Amino acid sequence: MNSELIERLKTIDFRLKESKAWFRLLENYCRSLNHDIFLINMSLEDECSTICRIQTDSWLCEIENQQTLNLKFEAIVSKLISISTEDCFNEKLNHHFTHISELDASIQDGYLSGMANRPVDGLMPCIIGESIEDNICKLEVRGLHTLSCWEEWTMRIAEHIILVNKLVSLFPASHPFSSIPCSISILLNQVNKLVVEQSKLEKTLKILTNSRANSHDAIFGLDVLIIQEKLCPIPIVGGEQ
Amino acid sequence: MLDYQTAKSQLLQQKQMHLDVCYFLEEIDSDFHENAANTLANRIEKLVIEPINVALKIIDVIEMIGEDQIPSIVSVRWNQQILEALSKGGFEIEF
Repeated sequence: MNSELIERLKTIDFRLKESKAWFRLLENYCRSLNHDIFLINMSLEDECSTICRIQTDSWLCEIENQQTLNLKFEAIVSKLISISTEDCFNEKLNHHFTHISELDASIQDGYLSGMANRPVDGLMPCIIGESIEDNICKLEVRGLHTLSCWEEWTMRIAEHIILVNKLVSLFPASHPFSSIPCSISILLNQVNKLVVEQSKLEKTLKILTNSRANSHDAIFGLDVLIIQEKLCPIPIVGGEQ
Repeated sequence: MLDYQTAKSQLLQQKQMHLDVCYFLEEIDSDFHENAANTLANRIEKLVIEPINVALKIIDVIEMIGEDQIPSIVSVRWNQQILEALSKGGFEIEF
């Protein structure tokens, strides 16, 4: 009985550690996304990217909350394993099993197949696949490079949309993460439209002011002025306020 | 969306037609009609041929940039200028 309990607790401990790594991965991604959205927001000063920043911050808060609970449960499980191994189990420790039993139920419920129907706090309700891990790492590495034009920003946002859409499908509706990636995806699509428009303005201005197209200057003088007024500065990497 | 290729060919046809009219008017040497003919030729050049030239240059730039890469803020203005040139030239196009 005791050895079976220890095995069960060890499984929970393993899954909690696994979830901790995934929460850290999501946290890093959220910080990377937040940084990009911050830069775009500083440049465009629009409502969509402002709300997107708020949503990303909310997700970060939820992740940190889950990480705190994960650490708490990990400590409890670790202590329970030590106590059970030493055969010092006391009935006074029973109340710790309330949450631990929920974790155990979720794990037994199909957590391993990525189909947790009873998501619990502190445990990632899904398996973050290697492809998603790779995508997050690549995005973080690319985030270190300074983007020199709006066209490059459109590609960066498109990559974020693809990744967030993959994450949307991972979380069950009853999990605290379920609606946030959904909202971020919708907002990112709106931000993408604005960034694409900036890219178009940038490209058009470049062609209209190209020395080879000087013959167009007189005709397109007003258009150049309108574009210059609407074209926002390219987001520059800097410290977040 | 405006069909720029159709618009371009119609504008070129219109331009040629109005240039022919202008040449015809400029060749009138009757003392009684010369001034009126010259004035009319100038009016055609200013009011019809010049907007057509602008519209053709706009279409050139649109082709250079790519139809789906035109910013919405200038796209509306440019489409309006092309349609006005077509309208002044005497043709209506469907879009």
